[in-house]
Amino acid sequence: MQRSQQWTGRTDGKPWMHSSLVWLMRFLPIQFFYGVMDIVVVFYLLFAKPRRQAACHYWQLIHGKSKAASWWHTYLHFRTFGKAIVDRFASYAGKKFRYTLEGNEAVEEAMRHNNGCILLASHIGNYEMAGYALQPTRPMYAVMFGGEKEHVLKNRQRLLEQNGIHILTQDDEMGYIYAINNVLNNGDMLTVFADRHFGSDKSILQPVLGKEASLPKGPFVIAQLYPEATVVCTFVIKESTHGYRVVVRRLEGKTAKDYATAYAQIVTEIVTRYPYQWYNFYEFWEKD
Amino acid sequence: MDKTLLKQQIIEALNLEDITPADIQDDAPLFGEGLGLDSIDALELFVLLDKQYGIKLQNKEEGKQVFRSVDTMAEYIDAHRTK
Repeated sequence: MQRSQQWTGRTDGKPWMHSSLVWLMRFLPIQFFYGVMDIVVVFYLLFAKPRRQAACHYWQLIHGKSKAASWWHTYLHFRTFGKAIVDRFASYAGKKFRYTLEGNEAVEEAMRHNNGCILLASHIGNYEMAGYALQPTRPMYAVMFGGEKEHVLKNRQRLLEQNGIHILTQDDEMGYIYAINNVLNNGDMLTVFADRHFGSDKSILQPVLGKEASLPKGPFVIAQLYPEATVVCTFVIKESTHGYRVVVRRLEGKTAKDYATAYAQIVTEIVTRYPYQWYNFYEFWEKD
Repeated sequence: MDKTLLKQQIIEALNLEDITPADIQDDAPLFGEGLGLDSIDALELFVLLDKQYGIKLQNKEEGKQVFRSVDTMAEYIDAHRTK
């Protein structure tokens, strides 16, 4: 099994915890939950060993930090991640955020030309908030991890549907592949994570942040197979308590490898700017 | 339908290295035990049918039948091709 598949990507917590959190968020300011999260992440740092190790390795391998310093940066990293989770639940509770769009013209143009648009998403920043920010003018379909807990998926589905986004779950069947084909043939929007394997073990080796990583081949094959579609990657970056910057970049290419190279370059640029918003807490890079 | 041509098209579309048309049996399963294709390969076969033969598959039940083997693909192409 590949390393990228070892982490399930599931949201932690019991259903009653999630429901209670959403309920409480209607009455208390978001800063209260950030404060609670600052304490919770200390336990996370101590007891979530695989994720802590992966984050520490990220700080050592990619950012050249010492072993001791990597613990401090991992704590700050988990705090930032905690705030992203709080914001996600806050949005479930109806709280509003400000979004500054950067480069969204490519998506708007694609929608006008009816040729379909492939949005490559990443576990960088708070991608789930993209639905609120982009407000697509055509139906948008998101390929989501099918192993999520049912209530988490339902919450997401409810919120995303309100914004015209439909979820295609990655279950064991190949049904979503058929759905992907239909979405793009209809000229609609498809969003798929380009940093996590789905439905296929095939990968493309590509330098990301200066080190060789195994990217899933699927999203880039989709980009190659639909040359009429506009291909963009999107990052929803937290810049302040209530403010997000939505960065959209167009990718050009002919082959899956071209798209993977362009994607990796943009990921490198974004993560260099926002190192604490890299949320792939597993051993992402190939061993030397 | 020339099955050797179809096999060649499958090999090229899926970039199957070290496999020749002679290595693919007409009635062997394409997915799972046979050629061991996966869901991304299925998408590439969709596009192959569309581009080469003008066939658009609409649902997975139909796809499962069509992509069982080279034999079933060839039969479906003969019956539904528009180019």
